[in-house]
Amino acid sequence: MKRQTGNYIIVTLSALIMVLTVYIGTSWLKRVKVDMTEEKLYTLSDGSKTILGKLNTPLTLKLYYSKTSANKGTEGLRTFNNYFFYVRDLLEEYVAHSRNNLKLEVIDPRPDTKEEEDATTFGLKKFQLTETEKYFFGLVVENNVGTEKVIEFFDPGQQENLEYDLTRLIYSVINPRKKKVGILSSLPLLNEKLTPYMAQLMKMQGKPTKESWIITKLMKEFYNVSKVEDDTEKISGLDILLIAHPKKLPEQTLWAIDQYVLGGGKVLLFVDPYSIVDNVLSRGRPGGEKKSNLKKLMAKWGVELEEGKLAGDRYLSGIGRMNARMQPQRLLPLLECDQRCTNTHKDAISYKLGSMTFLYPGSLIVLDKEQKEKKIYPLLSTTEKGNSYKFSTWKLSDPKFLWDDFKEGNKSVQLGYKIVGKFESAFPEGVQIKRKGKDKKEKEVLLTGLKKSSKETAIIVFSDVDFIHDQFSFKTTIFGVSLNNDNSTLVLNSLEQLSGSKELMEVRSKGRFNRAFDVVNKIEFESEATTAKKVAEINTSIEKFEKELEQLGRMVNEGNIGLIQNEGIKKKKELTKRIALLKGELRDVKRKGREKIEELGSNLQYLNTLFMPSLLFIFGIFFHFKRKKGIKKDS
Amino acid sequence: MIRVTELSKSFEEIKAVRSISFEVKQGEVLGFLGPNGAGKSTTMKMLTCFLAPTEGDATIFGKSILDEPIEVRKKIGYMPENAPLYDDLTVDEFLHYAAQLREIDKNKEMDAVENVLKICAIKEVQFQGIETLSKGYKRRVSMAQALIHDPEVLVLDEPTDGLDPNQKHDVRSLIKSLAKDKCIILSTHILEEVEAVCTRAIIISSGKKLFDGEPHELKEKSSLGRVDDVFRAITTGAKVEGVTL
Amino acid sequence: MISHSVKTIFKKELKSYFATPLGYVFCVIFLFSIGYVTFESGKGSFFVLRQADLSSFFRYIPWLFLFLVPAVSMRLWAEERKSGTIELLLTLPVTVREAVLGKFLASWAFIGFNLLCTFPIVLTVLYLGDPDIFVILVGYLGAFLLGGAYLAIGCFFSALTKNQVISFICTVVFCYLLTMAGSPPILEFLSTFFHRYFLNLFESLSIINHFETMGRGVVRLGDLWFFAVIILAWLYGCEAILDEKKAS
Repeated sequence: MKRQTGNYIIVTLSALIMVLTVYIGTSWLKRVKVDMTEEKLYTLSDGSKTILGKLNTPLTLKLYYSKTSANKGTEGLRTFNNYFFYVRDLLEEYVAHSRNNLKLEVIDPRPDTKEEEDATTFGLKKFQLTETEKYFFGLVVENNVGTEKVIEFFDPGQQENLEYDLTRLIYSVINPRKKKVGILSSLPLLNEKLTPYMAQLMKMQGKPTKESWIITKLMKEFYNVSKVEDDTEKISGLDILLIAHPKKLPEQTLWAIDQYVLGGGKVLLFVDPYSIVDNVLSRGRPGGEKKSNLKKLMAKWGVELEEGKLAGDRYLSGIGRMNARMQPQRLLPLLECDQRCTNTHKDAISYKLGSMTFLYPGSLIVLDKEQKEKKIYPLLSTTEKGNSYKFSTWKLSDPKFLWDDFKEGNKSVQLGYKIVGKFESAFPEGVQIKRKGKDKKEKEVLLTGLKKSSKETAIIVFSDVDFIHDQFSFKTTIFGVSLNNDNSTLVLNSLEQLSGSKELMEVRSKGRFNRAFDVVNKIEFESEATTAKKVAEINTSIEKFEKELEQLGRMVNEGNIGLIQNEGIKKKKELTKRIALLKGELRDVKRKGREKIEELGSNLQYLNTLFMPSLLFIFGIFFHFKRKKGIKKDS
Repeated sequence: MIRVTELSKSFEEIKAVRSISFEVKQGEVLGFLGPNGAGKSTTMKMLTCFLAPTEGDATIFGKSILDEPIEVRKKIGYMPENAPLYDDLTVDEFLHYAAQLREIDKNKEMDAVENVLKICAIKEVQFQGIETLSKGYKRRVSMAQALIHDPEVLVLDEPTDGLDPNQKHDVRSLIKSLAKDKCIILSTHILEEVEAVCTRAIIISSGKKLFDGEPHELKEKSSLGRVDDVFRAITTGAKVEGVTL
Repeated sequence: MISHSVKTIFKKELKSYFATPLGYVFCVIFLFSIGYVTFESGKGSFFVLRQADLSSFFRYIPWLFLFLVPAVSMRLWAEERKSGTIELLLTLPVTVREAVLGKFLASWAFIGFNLLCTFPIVLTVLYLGDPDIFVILVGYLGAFLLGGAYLAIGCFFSALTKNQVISFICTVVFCYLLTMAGSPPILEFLSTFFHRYFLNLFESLSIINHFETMGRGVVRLGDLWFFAVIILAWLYGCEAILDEKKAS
């Protein structure tokens, strides 16, 4: 009896030792790892590490996770439990790289405790699981003077941007000042003189108001926004310069921008080969160019807007009409970008943005292949079937012409770039400008300044300006203004990155690589191409019929009206037959494409479920008999 | 040379073997006699290091079963009770497996197997699955396995149990022929077997050694010359006619 | 540690998987089921999801292993004990540790062979798209370690009883517990008896959490440590049990 009790004690003890060894070992050794993923899921990017290296004040990271409540929930919450582990592991990476400046606290707020109250006060998102159980999953970063920043809720769907979000949060705690944005634009983005009261008054009087654009108002919530005149000689005191649709800027302004950039100033630039907003706003004054460029400066920054060309992509074209009389149809200049345009670039600015509308966007190209002191990151592009096309203004209103004339490409066209690094001056010799002296006489003055960047900076360029206008990015309803798409998010993301440091800009999204089934996609594309051809055939037949009918109609006179009507009916019958036939063929093509994919799927399924088992089965039987035979023969 | 000193084994409250001591010299065949459950198998299992003794020790050619169990096992060939074998192997595979685990040289392995196949007369079933063999063959295969490394000590647990008279005869003559240069311990409850093959006999009952001597001494104890009577008298302690202990 | 005896036992045991129908039956069932659940829409939905990775495949490995590995392990010692061959094996100059190791490694190699036989699925993703091959390899390593952990547990229970069915059931139940250790309902159930800290301990035992991080392509020393400790601890337990109970 004694011996048995002894055994039980030994068993219990060994089990306990095992559990403890596992627990202690796994928590100690967790950080030692080989990250074999192409995405480097568990490794911080250099940008984050640099920012952490610059930390010199202690910060506390409070990770709120309602573990106990989650356990009371459904099995589905395991996804969140898992994501919590990932967030915690990544935060531990941060702590490890922070030279002891970061402290991580994991808090499980229980109902009716101080922790729960805190979580609510910090503004973390709260989900009511049951009557009493609430669910929190957020982060608070605090420094020792009481500045705090929060992530309200960790969404497992946003895993790709997690590192960027965390680094940005830490950065914003260290740099809490509201950044200054200056706007330099040929379009009325900002109307400083108009106070809201005045605007209201003018509206009530029925006068057309010249309010700031909604995007500007939105920017004002996060930044100090001011106007930069377009004949300025010197730009200073800004964190970010926003240049929208720069048209024929005078030399001194170009000089000012040049020097601003070389001095480390950041720029968000919108150039446009054809601005529809510009066109509408200047309706009173026909003629005049609707394009903008900053060729001279951009050349030094390493990118160029292709002159006289637009970017198009049939697969991204939106449906709309150019004027009230037109049938809604696919319009090449209306480019509706989805995640195909953004996710491949894995940049937090555009990553996962799924609906952006551009009008007559241009095509950006990288100039010099060799980039020594600067890095150029693409942000936004068309699909691989996109292409750039030449245009002339008078053809722009003919959608059918544009559509038919367009040739599909095999390389995506770039619509946005981020450039980080050091640049050279576009005015190495300085610039001669005319300046009015005190005696109101114009004098030639030579301005000289920096020839090369004094420190690294960043520039973001987009090849469209229309997309930031109210009409294409917001909708006004009786409930007020609301977001229409991700256009404004793209602008705000850009500003946010620019307002951070260079390092923050180099924190990449841990994007999922495109791991689609290429073979299946190819079948689908082929089938789509054939389908498009059939649809075109059907449309031509209908057109042809309409023309013939028209011709018949012209030949009508009193004598042959009956005959012609008969003829018309006959023709119509023929057409209906033909269309039915073509539609049948169309269905066939579609079905064949689908069947081909389904067939591939089931073939692969058979291969994977039946091939190896049957092989083994045959081998098994073979060896069995061989063995039997061997035994018999030898005995 | 086997020397057993005060070996005991108890399972929980049951004392299976109580302080048994004896010696077996080279050339001797020791018959282990006793009723079922007397502790014969347990003693043998301890000698082959399958079971650890509760108390006492035994040495086999100077190696202690407590301190050097692996060395001890190397010296012993053991045929367990009922001759358990791997049914899914053929005789040939099984003997090779045993030879390899006995660490017989790769180039001597073939000869060793051939040798025991001959000795035990199982050549004709060499490539047969063990599952298909008759009881007699199975015994002999088990015997072959015990002999494969030509051990100095042979421990056989009821080697003739369940065999027909001819097979019994064969096994006994095999044991006799092996006896010259080995120590052999065999357990049995068939008394004539002791007379036939053993040079010495030990009778144990309820784990205690009750008799240790030559078989003819056992026979002499009965005036009628019946070993059965002597056996019964010793193991049960009852008075049996014509037996003087 | 890998002595001559371990090698000999390893070879004999591994051979016996292919000498008997049992090995083939196991292989065929495993390969068919994993192929089926990987592709079946509503389960793995591999072809429907159109992602060139093997997450549909690896997701079901723990659940198939949960039943198939105990089927492999149940006979390891229970059969030896039942037929009495254990007496033969352990009176040969072989230590219990060598025997346990040899048998364990053989069945582990057999599990490994089964995993290798799933190579058509790897060829399939390579054909269909551009998968991250390292993630797949790490996933396989994880699956192999998972199989090893289940197997070690199975060894233990196989040594504990002569009855294969009991051994099978105990192994399944225990593996299930370890697999689900991180699952909210089970944690909640335990939280009614134990303190929070104990729950953390318990959760760290969850096999599936460690398996899933490997499935994502990260080899953490902590995870390797986990599997190593689990395997060695249960094998050690198996050895202790055999030492103690081999005669009964």
